[in-house]
Amino acid sequence: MFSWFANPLRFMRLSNWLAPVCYVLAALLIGWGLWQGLWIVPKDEYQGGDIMRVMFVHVPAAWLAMASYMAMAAMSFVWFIWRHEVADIAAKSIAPLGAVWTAICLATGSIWGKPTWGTWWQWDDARMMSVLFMFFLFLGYMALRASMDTRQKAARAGAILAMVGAINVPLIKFSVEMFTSLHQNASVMTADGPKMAAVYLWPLLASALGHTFLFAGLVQTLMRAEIWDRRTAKANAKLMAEG
Amino acid sequence: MLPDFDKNAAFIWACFAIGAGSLFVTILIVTLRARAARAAMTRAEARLRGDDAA
Repeated sequence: MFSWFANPLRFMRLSNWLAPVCYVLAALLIGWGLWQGLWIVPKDEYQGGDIMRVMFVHVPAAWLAMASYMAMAAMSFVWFIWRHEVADIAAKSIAPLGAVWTAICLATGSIWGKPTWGTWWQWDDARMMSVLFMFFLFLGYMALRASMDTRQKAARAGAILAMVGAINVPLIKFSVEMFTSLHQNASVMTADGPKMAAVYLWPLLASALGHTFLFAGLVQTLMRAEIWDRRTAKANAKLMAEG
Repeated sequence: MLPDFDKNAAFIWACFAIGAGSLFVTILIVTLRARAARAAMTRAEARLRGDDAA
């Protein structure tokens, strides 16, 4: 299966129609989620009143941040084992987008924390620090790749960092149960199923799915740009060789 | 018509503005990056073919 997707021409043909489809689905789902989150769902006094509406931005961003890291680590693993160029291009394209969603998660979480917990940030909080660490892993991955003088070295160093850093993702997920944290426990992905009322759950899931489609569309667009860059480099190298 | 929130309205709007603003800027940068990459590739391949118009 990996080999089927590893062909850049096949990827370009697939993403040519799949990326626009992802953007349309993202616009519809995020739009509906926002409309529900801002105008329709009632405020929850138990969760601090209207401030719980931040959930419709913060939670999808948090899920996407973790999912994007896992996707980057998985693509790095595929490159590391099978040396499929498209997997490396995918990992490289995921990193800046993962950093953006992680930054949104951190910023909105901090703003939500002020009225809810009375503080913007807690340096000894396991959830906050593990997410901040993931943000630095994304930045570190990009910096490490940029510091290498060949594409092969960049791919290898990046893949090792991405795979080793993947251990942080389960730590983020279980940090609220394993360590002391101001953050509330999971209320959607629990062993007993979601603990959230359906009126909040469906808009939240729609919003999260919309963010996922947006992320998928953007990754494909960045991957296409990277493939075009590599074709440009190849053409320029041929021109140089021809003198 | 904007919804009317309780005392935490500023925090709520700040979060939605950060989310929407960040995603909008990201979409813009990714689109411009892809367009620039495609244009550079078209030019390079045209030069390789010996197309003077490139």
